[in-house]
Amino acid sequence: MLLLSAGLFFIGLAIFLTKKHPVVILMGIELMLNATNINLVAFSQQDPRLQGQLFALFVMIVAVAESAVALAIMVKIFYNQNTVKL
Amino acid sequence: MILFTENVIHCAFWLLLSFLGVAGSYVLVGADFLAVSQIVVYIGGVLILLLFGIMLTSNLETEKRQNNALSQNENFSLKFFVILFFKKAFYFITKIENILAFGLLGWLSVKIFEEKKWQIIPQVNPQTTLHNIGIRLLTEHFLAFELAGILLLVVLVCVLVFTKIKISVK
Repeated sequence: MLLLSAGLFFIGLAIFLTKKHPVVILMGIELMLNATNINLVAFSQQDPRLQGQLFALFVMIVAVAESAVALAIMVKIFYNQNTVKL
Repeated sequence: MILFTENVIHCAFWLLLSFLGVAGSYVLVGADFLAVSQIVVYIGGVLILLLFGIMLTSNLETEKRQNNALSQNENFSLKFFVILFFKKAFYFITKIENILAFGLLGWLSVKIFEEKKWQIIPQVNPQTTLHNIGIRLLTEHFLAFELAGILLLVVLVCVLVFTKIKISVK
């Protein structure tokens, strides 16, 4: 489980560092947040209070908000400059 | 796979696959509520949002070219479409990363079907985390829950205000 999350995190990091299109960079960020979520869930597996899962839930909410704001910024940039390539 | 594909739409579909994989691993560690919310939030929300973002920010000229090509293709008969499909399939097969991915998938599935004799374990009182999470969310973490709600509202309003296009009213 931890290996899976580490692999996912580094794939996300590589996408974030190498890609040109900002939407794909956003996908890389989502992958990294997913990796942290897997880590949290894996560590809260034996926890009866399930704090890791709750925190993963909040991380999910924040990730959605962040991607929505980033996409709004991208659409605005596209209207102004007619391209979003970095 | 997202690393190796250049097409943005293909990236989005590979992302769908990886989100499904993450949801499956949640199920495997017994976080069922989180798996369901992963599917609903990420695949139903974020991925659609990303696809909309790709569509809204894609370059119009290349799209026009593709549309022209498509309409030219539609003039031909069905036979042409079949040939086109086979060409596409051949192109798909010849790409090395696709061969690698499907070869790995096939090898793994063959291994699994050889190794495992599938047997159904009698389930004793399946425990869901839903009750526990619901109770804890509204007692211990109530402040964070409310803050998350307020954050989502703020984001919604901000995005609406930010992407507002001025519409001239006659």
